[in-house]
Amino acid sequence: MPPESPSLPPSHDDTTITPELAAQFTGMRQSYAKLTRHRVIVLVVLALLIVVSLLLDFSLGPAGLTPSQLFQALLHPSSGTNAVIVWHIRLPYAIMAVLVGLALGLSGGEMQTILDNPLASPFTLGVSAAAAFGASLAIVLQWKLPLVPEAWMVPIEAFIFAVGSAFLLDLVARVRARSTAMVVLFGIALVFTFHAFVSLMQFIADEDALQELVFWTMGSLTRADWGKISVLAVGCLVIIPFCWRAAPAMTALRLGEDRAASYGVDVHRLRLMSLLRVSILSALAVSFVGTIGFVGLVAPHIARRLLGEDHRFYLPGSALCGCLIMSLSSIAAKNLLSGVVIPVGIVTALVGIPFFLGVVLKRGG
Amino acid sequence: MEEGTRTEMTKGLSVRDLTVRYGKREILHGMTLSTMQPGKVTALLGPNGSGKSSFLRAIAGLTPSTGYVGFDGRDLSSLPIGMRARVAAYLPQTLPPMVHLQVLEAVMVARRAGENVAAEQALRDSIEILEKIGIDNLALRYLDELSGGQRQLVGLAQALVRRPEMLLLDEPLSALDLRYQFAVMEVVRRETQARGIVTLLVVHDLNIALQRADDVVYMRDGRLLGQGVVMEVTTPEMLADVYGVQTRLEVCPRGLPHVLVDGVV
Repeated sequence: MPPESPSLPPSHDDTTITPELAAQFTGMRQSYAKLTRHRVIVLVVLALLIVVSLLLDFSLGPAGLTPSQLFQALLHPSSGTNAVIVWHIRLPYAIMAVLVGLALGLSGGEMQTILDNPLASPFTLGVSAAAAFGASLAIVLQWKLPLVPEAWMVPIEAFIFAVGSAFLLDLVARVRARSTAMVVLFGIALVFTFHAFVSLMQFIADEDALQELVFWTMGSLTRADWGKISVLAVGCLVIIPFCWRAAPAMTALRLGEDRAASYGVDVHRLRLMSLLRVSILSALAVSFVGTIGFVGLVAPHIARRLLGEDHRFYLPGSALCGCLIMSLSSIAAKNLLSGVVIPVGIVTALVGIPFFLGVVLKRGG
Repeated sequence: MEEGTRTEMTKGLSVRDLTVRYGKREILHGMTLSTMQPGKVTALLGPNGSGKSSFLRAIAGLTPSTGYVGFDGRDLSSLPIGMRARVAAYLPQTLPPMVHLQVLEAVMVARRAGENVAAEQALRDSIEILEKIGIDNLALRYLDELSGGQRQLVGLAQALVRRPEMLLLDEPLSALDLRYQFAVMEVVRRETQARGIVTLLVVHDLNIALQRADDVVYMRDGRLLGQGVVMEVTTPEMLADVYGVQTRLEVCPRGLPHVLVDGVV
């Protein structure tokens, strides 16, 4: 309680807790507890929806296996075609979808806060485009790195460029620290630059490489395997605790850089560490599955509406929304056209573009 | 505070030779002030672009500066940003942005972002401060549905809830209606006195400054023109010097000072 002051007018005394004030305090505390409960419930419901979506993603597909066949194959990993379908296609695709969604949703959520821009995401700021260029070097030029196994050449070169572009963004953010708009414009410039480079690569590519590259830029879960899943999962597990620890400071940053700094938040460090997390997460995601647009853009907006902007709820919400969108897109990608698996990046773009326009128009109006 | 405490120079905020440069341009030219004491509200007055905001930001440690800024004998410039923020609460000139955060959450974040405060304690402090400022009815509304003036009050609550030893308020009244301008000044005064805070605020309304502040600091072009008890320093000559306007100072029948502006010098 604050110290007593003798010189104050009695009307507004600091320390006397009147019965009305006490009642109001109780009332407000209850409302706040209710709000927190509501948010936890929203997060739990999202998690449950993801589980349902995962199950659907696992059980629906062009092979048309029945639930009992799936179950049998799941229990006996080395028993024929069904087991191959379940262990090498269905499970890895479904799990990869969720992990990629998590990484993209979380990075999009953090990016929109640290760059203070509702259109920021790994896709709109060039991280995906840079990854595509990295992949094109591996696919078209057969550019080899020492000590890297052949099968990992494409994702690793994609990763190098994705991280590089994220650090370029960070460099711009630091040099022009006063203007986050500058960072966003620079990101858009990166998108166009890398698209031009990728076009150049496509132009000089031979027929096979061209096909592979075009397919890569479409973003597809068919590249998933257990090795990549493990790497991405470990990446997420390592990075998520740091996101969680930064959440209160990130909420403060939403109130403005000056304000956050005046609360004792080291804004510069917060931004730098966040960009580091975001670049690793998003680069891992896109380098394994190719360009997946709009998930990192859309998920934070949904989370913000559902959960508000207290980052202790908003960041997990954004991650979970990303999981759900990717998982649902994966189901759609397999089942929209019978017998064909559409690259999932096409589905997320088709769902995401109307949403993107909605965000732009809403801010314009 | 008794007049006698004036001689105890270690208490309060000391500023010596404070210089701020943006690139090659010097904004503050070595400002040296006499110590500002706990429990006193000092109004910082000066024309646009005179360096008032830079002065506050430099004291808060948000703008790089040279010179000495000390509080109760401690050199603030040697403190890391987190520690410095515990001493000084700075309210920026801009209003809190329209984010999807409830007022109560926004105030709690201000309490908790920089230091370890239990959620329950932060909640209690936040509700108390909202009640004090008279916006407890807004507690559960979202910032993005409030008016500019309401958000400015939230900003003030965010500064006060941190229980600073020093309050640096950059135009806390700019978006408020007449009644709230005086109400906010009352709250600031009361908190300043009750907690022994050193309060420094930028206002543009001379009459509010004359009637509600204890001391004034006049500055122009990054230099100090005058500092002291309001009615001792404020003279038509000073105002002509600071603002370039012709004024009369009159005391109304109720004993309150008023500035009447007759025109440009």
